[in-house]
Amino acid sequence: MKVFVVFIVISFMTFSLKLNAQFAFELKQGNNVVFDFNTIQEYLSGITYMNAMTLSVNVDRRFDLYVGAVTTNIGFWDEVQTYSNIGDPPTIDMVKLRFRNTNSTSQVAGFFDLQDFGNPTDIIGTKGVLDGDINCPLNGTNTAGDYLANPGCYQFRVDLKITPDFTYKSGLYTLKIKYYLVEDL
Amino acid sequence: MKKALFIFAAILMMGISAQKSYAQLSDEEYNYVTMDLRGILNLTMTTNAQVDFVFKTIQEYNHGITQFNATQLEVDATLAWDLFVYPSTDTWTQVESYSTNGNPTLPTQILEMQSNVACVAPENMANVWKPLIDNTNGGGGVANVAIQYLAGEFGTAAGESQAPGTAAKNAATHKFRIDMRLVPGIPAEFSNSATGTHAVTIAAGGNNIAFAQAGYYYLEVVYSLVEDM
Repeated sequence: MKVFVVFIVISFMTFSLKLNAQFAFELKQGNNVVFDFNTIQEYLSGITYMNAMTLSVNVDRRFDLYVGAVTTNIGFWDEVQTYSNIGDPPTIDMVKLRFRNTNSTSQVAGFFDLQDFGNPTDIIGTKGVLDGDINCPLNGTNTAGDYLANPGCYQFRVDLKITPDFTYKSGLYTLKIKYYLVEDL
Repeated sequence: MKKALFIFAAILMMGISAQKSYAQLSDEEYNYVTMDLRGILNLTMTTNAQVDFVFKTIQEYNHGITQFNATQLEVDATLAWDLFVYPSTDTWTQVESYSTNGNPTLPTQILEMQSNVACVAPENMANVWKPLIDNTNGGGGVANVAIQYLAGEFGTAAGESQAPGTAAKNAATHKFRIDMRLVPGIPAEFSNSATGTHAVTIAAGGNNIAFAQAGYYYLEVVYSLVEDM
């Protein structure tokens, strides 16, 4: 009988662990980011926002992290207002992102083009693919851990950069960048 | 005992099956990004704004004075644009006269100009000397088909504007070297202005005397950079 009680306790412990699963972005520091191009110099040299987003990951199991844009028309910014009749509608790939942390665990080094969320960029792991374990501090670290104990592997600072040049139609545009943390299954 | 074992086994199986069917954990975060691509039109004159023509020899009266690159303009724009030129007044303004004879009212057409940048507008001065047309006979200082364009032309169809860009990267289309000349002749009738589409003679205005009164004059030339719309 004692054996049954022990088993039942263990069984409930299992359930209890599941209820307390750690899998989240914590200390979210997402911002509204405004790229205001009002000088020729800014059009030519671009504007860069360092730490436009800080992603602090706390997970108790293997994870994937990917990023993409959410817009009404895939591949293009959402248009609020235009100031001119001439020029091309701006595309989302003009937005460059860079994921940084101390151990450079992002699988994509340096700045890369933003893509639609339907075809996101894999920062950690591969979307829809069961990956093997990669432990901190290796590139692509995807195993359990948290930003408090290992910020060099589990905290990502995201930089955003846009250099429009003169191809696009003047106007006011918006888009959302979606950062997606998901259990690797 | 067996019953209890069976119940436990059932609970364990439920536990295992529940473990396999739980939802995939995920979390997400967003950046809301706004981009404001402002319309910018910058026209910069890189030379002195004042261009002086001083006629003090017979030679200068006869052959005139030509100022190559009298004015250099640079355009930086994030929009499609047109550039045109016009005088702020229909005649030169006399500041001082050195004589009592001659006509003090000189039409703007006596000033001839040419630009180095290609332009296909009906009224242009691309690589050809053209008189500066007064506002009454020309476009009146606003974008229209009669005004003298340095780049682009009236209308918004393809090819009727200059593309956005900077002078530094587009020297052939965004940097203008404007030549100016005045050829008075003797007597100072400015006969070049008496030919062509917008021909005008000095005798047509003022006191109707056919030659210019000796004196000090000025004329303000306006360069207007506008969005092609």
